Amino acid sequence: MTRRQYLLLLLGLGVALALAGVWSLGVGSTEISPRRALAILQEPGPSLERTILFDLRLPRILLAVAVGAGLAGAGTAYQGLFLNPLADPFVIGASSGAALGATGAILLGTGALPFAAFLGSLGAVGLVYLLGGSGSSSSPLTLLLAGAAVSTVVGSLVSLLMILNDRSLGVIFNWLLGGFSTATWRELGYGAPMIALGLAALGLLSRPLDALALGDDTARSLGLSVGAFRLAIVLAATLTTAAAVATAGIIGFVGLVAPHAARLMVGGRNSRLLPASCLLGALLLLLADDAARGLASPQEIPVSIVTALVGGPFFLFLLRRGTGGLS
Amino acid sequence: MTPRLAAEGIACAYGHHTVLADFSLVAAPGTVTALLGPNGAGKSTALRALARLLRPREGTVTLDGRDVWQLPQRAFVRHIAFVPQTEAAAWPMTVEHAVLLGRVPHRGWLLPYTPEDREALSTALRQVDLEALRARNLDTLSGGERRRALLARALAQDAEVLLLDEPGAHLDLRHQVELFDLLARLARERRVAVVLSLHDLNLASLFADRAVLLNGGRILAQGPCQEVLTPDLLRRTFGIPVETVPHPRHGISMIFPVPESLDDRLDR
Repeated sequence: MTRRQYLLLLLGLGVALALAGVWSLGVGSTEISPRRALAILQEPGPSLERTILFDLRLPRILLAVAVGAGLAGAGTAYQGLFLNPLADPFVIGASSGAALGATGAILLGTGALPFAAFLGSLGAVGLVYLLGGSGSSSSPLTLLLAGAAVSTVVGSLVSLLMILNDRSLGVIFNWLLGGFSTATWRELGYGAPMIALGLAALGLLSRPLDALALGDDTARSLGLSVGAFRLAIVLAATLTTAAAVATAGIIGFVGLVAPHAARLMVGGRNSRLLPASCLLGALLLLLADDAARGLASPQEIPVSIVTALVGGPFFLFLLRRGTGGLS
Repeated sequence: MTPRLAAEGIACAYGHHTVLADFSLVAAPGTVTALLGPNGAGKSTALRALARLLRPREGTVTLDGRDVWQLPQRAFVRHIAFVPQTEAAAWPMTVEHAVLLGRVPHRGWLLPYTPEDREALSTALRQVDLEALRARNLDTLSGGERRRALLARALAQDAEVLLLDEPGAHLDLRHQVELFDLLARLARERRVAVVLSLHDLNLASLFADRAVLLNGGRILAQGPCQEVLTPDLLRRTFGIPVETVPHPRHGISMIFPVPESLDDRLDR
């Protein structure tokens, strides 16, 4: 793919995302056409429709975009780090770790929920990394098993905490179920900058990620301090994941599907892969959220159910293709 | 001036298993040195120790007299290029992009590649005859083409010392000869020091200046090829009888095994 083709593809994805964003303004229990929605947003003066659009739908759309991009970017990085096409924030336990951290923060009543999510996420990823091995010694299967084991243990800890603290059960449960129905400008205000920071760091790390793809010996003989850069990549990807989980709960498979689809389009070079993957992840999650609130309207389906329904079969398809279909 | 890479009495072990002992070698500028020996003799380990990928248990590896483990990694890799025996990209990556990574020691991990890097890329691809395949993905290349791409990356690195683990493996006759011709030329014309491992004794005799015979992690002999590649030393290295005859054109030793089964087959 030439540079020109690549830029056209990015432009295409960007336009598609913008159009989907405008169209999403109209999706929900109150019917507002996209054209009307744009007009309302420009009109001054308070109105019910304006409140719905401005305080409910707009932050929701923007948060879905940010979280989708974040999960896709983190998935791309985890796959590059573990040299494993099946790695994604959900599969390797980063999401459940973040959930444990966040649950702890809710119970303790501290306001530092995103930070607690980050610590929990980091702990889970570190554990999977140690158990499942990394680099050349990691087979997709070991990683999956380690991820599943850690996720199960962490998940049961979350359940245990919920049962022991039944007064907070409802709060935690709602939070875990995730989704964007409760999205506010405040959540967007701390979530989006954290995600942007993590993604920017990953962008700066894309050449080291390329070198890691060629194996440790090669990366070292090109001058890479492999250990330090692995740590930097883990920190950036985990910050992104934690921000996504802290604002939207556990949403699986976006971080798996988007990098794969993007890799098919632009190849494995991370400086190209990351932007394409993020745009695609944003688009996928936005559409999934539209489905979540539109399909059974006025009833809402949790968006994690939509992504799992679409992503689960995709995951099995990758697994059936052996190592996960790299080309 | 070309820096000198040298190993002085190094010993390496994986766990409790010693795989290289009392190994000394100077990668002299302008020479091609071949590491020869049976499987498991310690050739790859020696190369990895020289490439600063494996820290020796004893002894030191030095660059211009300074312990390489005291040098910043970046300073080391500007002078020394290493090509592993096998390398598989985890993701589809084009030849061009993989070779450009060889410019990282000069350009760093952040700055965009410059026209100078592109120039080095084109030169390296021309040298290994891969220009036509530059936009192809590595995983679609044949084994030999992939090896040439790896070598191109080392060449693009513009290093004064090339450490190559079995660079001739999987190559057809023409590309084998062209590759070793190129290495010999780099040594002659640009004073590059080449240290490589290989299994083809005749290629070693044809192209290498010096040979190191290894067995069981120890050096049996090292010196100019024509002095080391003798029937006696080779028999002791590989454990089978060999004979040498002069090359019809150049007179240097060509090595032939003397298999037992051949007598039976020819008697029949």
